[in-house]
Amino acid sequence: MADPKVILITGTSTGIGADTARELAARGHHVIATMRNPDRDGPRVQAGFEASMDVARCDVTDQSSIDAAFALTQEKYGRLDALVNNAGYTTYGAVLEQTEEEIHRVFDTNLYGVVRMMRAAVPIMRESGGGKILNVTSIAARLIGPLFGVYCATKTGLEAVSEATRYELARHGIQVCLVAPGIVKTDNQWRSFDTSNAFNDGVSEYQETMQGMLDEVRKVASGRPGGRLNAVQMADLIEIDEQPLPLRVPVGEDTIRAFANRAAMSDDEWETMLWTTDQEGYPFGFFKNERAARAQHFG
Amino acid sequence: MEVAEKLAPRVVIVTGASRGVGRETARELAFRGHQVVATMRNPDRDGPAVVQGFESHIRVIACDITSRDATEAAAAFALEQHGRIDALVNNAALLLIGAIEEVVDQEIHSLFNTNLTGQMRMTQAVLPAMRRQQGGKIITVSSLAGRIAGPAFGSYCASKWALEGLMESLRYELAPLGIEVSLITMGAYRTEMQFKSTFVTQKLQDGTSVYQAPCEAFIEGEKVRANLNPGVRTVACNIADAVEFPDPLALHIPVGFDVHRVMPLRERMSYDEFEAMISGMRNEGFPGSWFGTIEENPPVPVA
Amino acid sequence: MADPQVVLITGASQGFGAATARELAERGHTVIATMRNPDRDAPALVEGYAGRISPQRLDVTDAGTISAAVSAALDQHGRIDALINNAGVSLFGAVEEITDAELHHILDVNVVGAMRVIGAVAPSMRARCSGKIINVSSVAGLIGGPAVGAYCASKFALEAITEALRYEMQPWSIQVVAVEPGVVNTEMLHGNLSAIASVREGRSRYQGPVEALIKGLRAAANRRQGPRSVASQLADLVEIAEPLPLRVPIGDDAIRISQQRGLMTDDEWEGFLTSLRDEGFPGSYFQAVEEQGVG
Repeated sequence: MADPKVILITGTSTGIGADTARELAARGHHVIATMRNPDRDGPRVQAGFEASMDVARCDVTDQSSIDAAFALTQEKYGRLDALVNNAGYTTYGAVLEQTEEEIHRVFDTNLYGVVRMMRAAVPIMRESGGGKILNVTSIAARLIGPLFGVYCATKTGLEAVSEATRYELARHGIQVCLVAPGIVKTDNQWRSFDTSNAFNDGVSEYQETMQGMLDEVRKVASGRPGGRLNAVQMADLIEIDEQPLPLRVPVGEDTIRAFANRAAMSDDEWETMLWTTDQEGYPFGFFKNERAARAQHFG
Repeated sequence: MEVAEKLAPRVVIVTGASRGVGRETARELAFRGHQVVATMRNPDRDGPAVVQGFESHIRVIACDITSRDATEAAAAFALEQHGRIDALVNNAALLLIGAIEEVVDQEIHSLFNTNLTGQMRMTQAVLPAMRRQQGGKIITVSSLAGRIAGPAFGSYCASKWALEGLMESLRYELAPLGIEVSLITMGAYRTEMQFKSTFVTQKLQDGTSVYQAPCEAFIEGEKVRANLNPGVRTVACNIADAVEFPDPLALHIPVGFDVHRVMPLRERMSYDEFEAMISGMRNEGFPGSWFGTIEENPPVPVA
Repeated sequence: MADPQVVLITGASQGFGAATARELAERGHTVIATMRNPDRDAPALVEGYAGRISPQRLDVTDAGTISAAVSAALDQHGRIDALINNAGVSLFGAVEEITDAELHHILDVNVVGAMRVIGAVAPSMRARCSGKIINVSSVAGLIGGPAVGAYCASKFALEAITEALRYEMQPWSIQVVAVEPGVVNTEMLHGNLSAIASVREGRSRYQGPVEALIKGLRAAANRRQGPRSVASQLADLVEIAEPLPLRVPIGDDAIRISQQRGLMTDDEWEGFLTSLRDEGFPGSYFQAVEEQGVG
């Protein structure tokens, strides 16, 4: 059994974050499970692990709440072995129909929030002699989907800063690793799924396509397993006391498969496949609806 | 001006040399001046045709590679005749046709006993000599079926994949001893395997297989194809080249247009793409005959 | 939550099999957990899962026990939605010294054993035009390595069986998948590791390197994760409603190896593998050869 480690996780109120916090606690580690609303969500996540899990308020867009969470960690444990940047949400809308405010808000959480967390974690990890940072990216970082463009941009951005910090932080013994879940049945498709105002108001140019694809994505997601595998995989990565972690770990048969398919195809092959497929779900659902409109211009 | 030294004759054991790739390889090596010990199950019947014209270069010995005594006797015979063994060409193999669901223990065991354990036995028999010589080559004839798998001959593929796994492992083990291990990835050539070294599952023989139609179409398609394929001279020459080649041998030596076409696709495509390509083929023989038959007669679920 | 599935898993007494049986039971599925010796091993497995895990005696080398267990499962539950072929044995030792009987035994369990169970379960799946067959392979099914030749041969063969069976089962919409775990901290690596006779008797020409490999692998396993990720992945594959891929590597090392092997030529891969000197597979072996040589 691995020595107990101290791990701080963001976005633990539901889904993969909650599963990961509970998996790590079940394995005997000390978990600081952070969330925006601990009064509402904390007890459910903590249930059964009151001794090994601290619940702390942390909104990754609010620097003072970040400082407080790390102060608590420092005070209680004096070190930090791993940080799991899991907090994030999905935006759904045509890129040019997303408002400045919508775009800023999602970048503030999905990208800037992670940078803030890493900035706060590194000093305490350096004092601990090193550590691991797992950044939760998505299948959508490599499979760009229409109507998810802004979300994809936050995740490709996250991949870039993760890879760069992986090199930059190596000198401190800190490993940065990307974990890429596929489609998981979590609240991400409902509660953490932010549809654009244009769509909500029924005035999107893509209204029909958007509704169709949204239904499909939710249908696919509801048939998928929950986030347990992601939780177990992340707990494994934190415990594994061996070689350097890989830069990127796809989790789940869908992500492994999708990455292999994307890597095996040229851009042209990939695009041709998308425009001709009748597959459902992310990122395919869009294309059958838009095929005819495209054909008017491009044959 | 110095003239490069002529290549010294090598002593080579070739298994399964009664016909096909084995016979051609034995004769090609003999033609190039090497000393060949050609093994086969029935030398009285098959030996003369193999030796003819190369009486001073080919020795024939009875050897069934399912017998450890026989493989050891063959190695001893080569040593007694020539004092060393420079290369072993593992060629003997059987083909089994039938769906995985319906293969019975005895069928798969006898397949593996030749295609895998047989090669291991023969290899083990020559290793003491190669170890003493601090060198040697183990060249094993595998096929495209050792790199990809398809319907109707899954057990054969399994035996060839297993052989690949065994030989790839052996390569690491023998490298420190200066002994090389290499696999020939052979494509479709005109051999007599489809006619003389093939057996089909009991279920197919009885005509009671759930997969009767596609398996029969597969067999027929392969027979037609077998006659159209080029002869095995190319394979024999590649093996003889590998025996002579002075530089380290690659793990896989691809032989055949189809191998040169399929292996890059296999390596570059994702499994999804490859599977879609294979399932979409409707050529005669592997794999088109199978899929074509299934398409024409979709199986009805039995209650 | 996915509809409750009826899952038959072999080799469920310990390791991946036991972890997967429990994971499936926790998710509300019905598990027929088969093992060679249920009297000895079932109580520990079933504890806390009574009613959801039914232990059954099944030895994959014994066709009689297979048909009995499969009939009992079909009688009781009416169907088997998923078969997980997990039972397997390992074998350490150089190819040069493996006996016929040793090679036959590992093939009989790891390859023919899986085929026997497939043969017993497939008719009922064909009758319903539905089902999943999940074969637990290994990264040793994708790459060869020193001192594990027989194990690699068996897992390569299982990979071929999976790929061929996938085409054969297509018409009945039965899905066939191979999973490839990497190095996982399970009982298999800590119990009585099976080595070939020459190694057990201390007379192998490869004695030092083979022992170093076993020792290194055990040490590496201690630094690695337990079987939970394999259990979660297998349970996910049972639940997923969409078409399954042919191969699913499990764990950071397996994902990495399958990706790297796919991108490298044979020569690059061999160069990379033989350059390894870290503790574990295959570094411990090469390190020992470098230091002690092989006889």
